[in-house]
Amino acid sequence: MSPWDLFVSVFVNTLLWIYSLLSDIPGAFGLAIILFTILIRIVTWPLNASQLKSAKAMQELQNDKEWLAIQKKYAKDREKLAQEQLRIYKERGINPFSSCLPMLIQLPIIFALYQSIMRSLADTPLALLELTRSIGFFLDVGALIPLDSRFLWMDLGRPEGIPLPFHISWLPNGFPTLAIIVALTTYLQTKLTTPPTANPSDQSAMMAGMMNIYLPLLLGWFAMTFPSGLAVYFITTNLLGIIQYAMMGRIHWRALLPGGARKAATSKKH
Amino acid sequence: MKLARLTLFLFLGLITLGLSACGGAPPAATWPGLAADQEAAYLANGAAIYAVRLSDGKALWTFSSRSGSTFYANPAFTQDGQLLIGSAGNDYALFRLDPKASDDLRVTWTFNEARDYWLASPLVISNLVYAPNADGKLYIFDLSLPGDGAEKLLATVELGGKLWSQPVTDGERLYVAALNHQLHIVDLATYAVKTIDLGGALAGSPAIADGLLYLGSFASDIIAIRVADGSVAWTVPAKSRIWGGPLVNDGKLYLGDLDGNFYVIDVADGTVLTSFQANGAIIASPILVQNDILFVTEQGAIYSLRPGETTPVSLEKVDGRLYTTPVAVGDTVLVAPFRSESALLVALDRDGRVLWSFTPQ
Repeated sequence: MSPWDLFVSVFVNTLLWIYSLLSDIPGAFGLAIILFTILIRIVTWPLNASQLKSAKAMQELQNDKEWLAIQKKYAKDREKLAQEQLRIYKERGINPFSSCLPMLIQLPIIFALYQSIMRSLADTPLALLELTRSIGFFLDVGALIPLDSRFLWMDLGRPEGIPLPFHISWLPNGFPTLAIIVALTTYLQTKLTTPPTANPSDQSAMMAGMMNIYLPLLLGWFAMTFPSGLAVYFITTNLLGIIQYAMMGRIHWRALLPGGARKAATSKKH
Repeated sequence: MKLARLTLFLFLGLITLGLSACGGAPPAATWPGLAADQEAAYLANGAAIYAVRLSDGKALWTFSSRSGSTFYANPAFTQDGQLLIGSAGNDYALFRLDPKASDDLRVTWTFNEARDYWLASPLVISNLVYAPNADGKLYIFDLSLPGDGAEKLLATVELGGKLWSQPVTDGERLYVAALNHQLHIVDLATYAVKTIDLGGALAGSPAIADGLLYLGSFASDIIAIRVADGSVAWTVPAKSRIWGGPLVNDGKLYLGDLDGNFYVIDVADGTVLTSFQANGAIIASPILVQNDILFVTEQGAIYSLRPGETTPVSLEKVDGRLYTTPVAVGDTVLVAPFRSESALLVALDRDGRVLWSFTPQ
């Protein structure tokens, strides 16, 4: 067994263990994914906290006098501005991309979770055979298999879609309700948790702006194409992210209003 | 700005690549299906079905659908010698193929209204076809009805659970094993359904003989059920989970488990007459070759139990894993190794000597 398979196997067994506790409840596998996501969110809390810390440092920099001065001084010389920004980053020990690093570290977790959902659902004989062999001794294979993949109106092993009375070739599974919810919650999460900036032409502000557009579209597309179990994970993790930030008082509600981000940053500055 | 944009795209690209590489919405992948008539073997192996001449192992034709089908079920034969095979691709199509026709006329009928993979081989009785689908439904067709597609659909019976194995019949009722631990008993006259929970997933086809139905389960039980009333006649605990269906011959039941134990059981009372430890998991069902009982293991070994013997002899070991139930035509035994580097299909004689092997060009 490769190290990656071993890593995924830990995920599979945890997910199935949660499922086994809930197996008498209708929609147990969907609930297991939600509980598993909460568990992962708790485990990855230090990473999220580090991400938040980096974001806070970046936010404070946006309101720093020296930072604002160089923005003004080199407004027409972008190359020089970039050099000066880098100098300040270096002097203050800030990595502008360090807020992305925890996300990158979380990628294997997302991939492993996806694989654990797919492996658990085992929709071919080979997949089922491999699943029976990766289940730990503490779980009763005979009672556990097969998993009930139904959750609400969805089959978690298939892409979600509500059937339409007419055929649209690019919507083979019907109306993608879950994909829209994924895109919406991703947008809300990135918008609400991105620190406001006084200078929208700043690199990090531009990057955050692009992230606000591209990430919801990308995850929405995943939700439309991939098994809906993954979409349930995306929605849960987005909502948990918003709740977590709200509990820490770091939600930027004003960012939802047109021009709200700039107003929030300006009011903070004064 | 350029750096920021580049980083963002790299990050998003990494997510896309990562999830896509992890599978995306992949076509099903599993071991091949196999069937044979007197002239040819038909191997359902992913995107293609290969027809291979039995006499020398030469390819006769290859079929691939335009709808992205993948084929893994054992093909079934209709009364007029055509092939029935369903797709385990996202098209969920069931095809009837004419092996004698030219390539452009090969498909003689298609049904597209199932909602999941076709992994079970349909059961054909005269013009009627009983086709279980992984969507939990039994589709019943009358091939003598005019028209195409669903026009031949006689009835759809909602059974429940994923249906991966070929049904069996006693002439009055149809027995369909499901992964959700249930054995469905369908009255052939009324389509009324009776269901029995057997406590473990049922992946293999049951066997039926002399008023008893036999099958093994993931709960490591070997069970005999009285077809008259659906009551359990006897249960024998196996040492491990059972995948493949059993074989009944001459008052004895033969089957293997996932730990490689092969059992010979007295059908009358469930007494284990003998058991044998093979070299690997037994997933395929045993078959009868003349009077010998032949079974294969995941490790590629082929065993034969001769009449009167209590210990099987190892005949041959092929490259690859043997999950597919072998097929015998006269003295010729066909095996379809999975993940083999040398052949997709191997023909052997009764003593295990390789007659030919087939690899597509």
